[in-house]
Amino acid sequence: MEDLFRSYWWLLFPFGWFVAMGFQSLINYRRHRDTLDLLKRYADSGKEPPAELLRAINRQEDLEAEVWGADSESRRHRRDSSWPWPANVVLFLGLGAAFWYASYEDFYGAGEAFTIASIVMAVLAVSFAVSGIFSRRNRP
Amino acid sequence: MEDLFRDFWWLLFPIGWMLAAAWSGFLRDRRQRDAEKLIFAYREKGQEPPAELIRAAYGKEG
Repeated sequence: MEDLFRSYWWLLFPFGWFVAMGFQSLINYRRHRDTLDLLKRYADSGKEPPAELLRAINRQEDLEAEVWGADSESRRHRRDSSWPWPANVVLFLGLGAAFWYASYEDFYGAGEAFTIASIVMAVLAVSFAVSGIFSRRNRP
Repeated sequence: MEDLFRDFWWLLFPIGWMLAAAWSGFLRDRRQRDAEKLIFAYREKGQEPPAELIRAAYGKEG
């Protein structure tokens, strides 16, 4: 058991992240529910709800999408962000080159694993280049 | 058991991703149901529900 922990302790990081994101989602959901409760109270009393409260309903939707990065809105947000796509291409080409060097020099005797990593990085670089070129072309 | 874990530890990632997607879908469904319920409450009273609420229940396009 201790051996297993020594080998896989780093798994705590991705799983900690998963748990944190799950918790964040739950909190966002509760906040959304509370906002709707408040809106219901305004509706019951026949008063006009404040505009800020109405805006908050969909702002929470966006927050939730940002947690998982899953919906088209947040993808659009990412595409329009200041980080340009050629930077991703350069980043992954650089990583690919570094892994290729590691495989060439057979670092830690794990040359083949580094070859696979460098291929993955190269494929990601090509994918970022293609998606960057086409999304720019499709933009109105 | 330990051997099995050593061979297939990477399966935790796709399984974790699936669980995360299921959890996120479950909460999204609850959120939409809550918004829908409130829309019905508005309609029952003969009031027009706010556009933001309709967007929350039926998506960005309304």
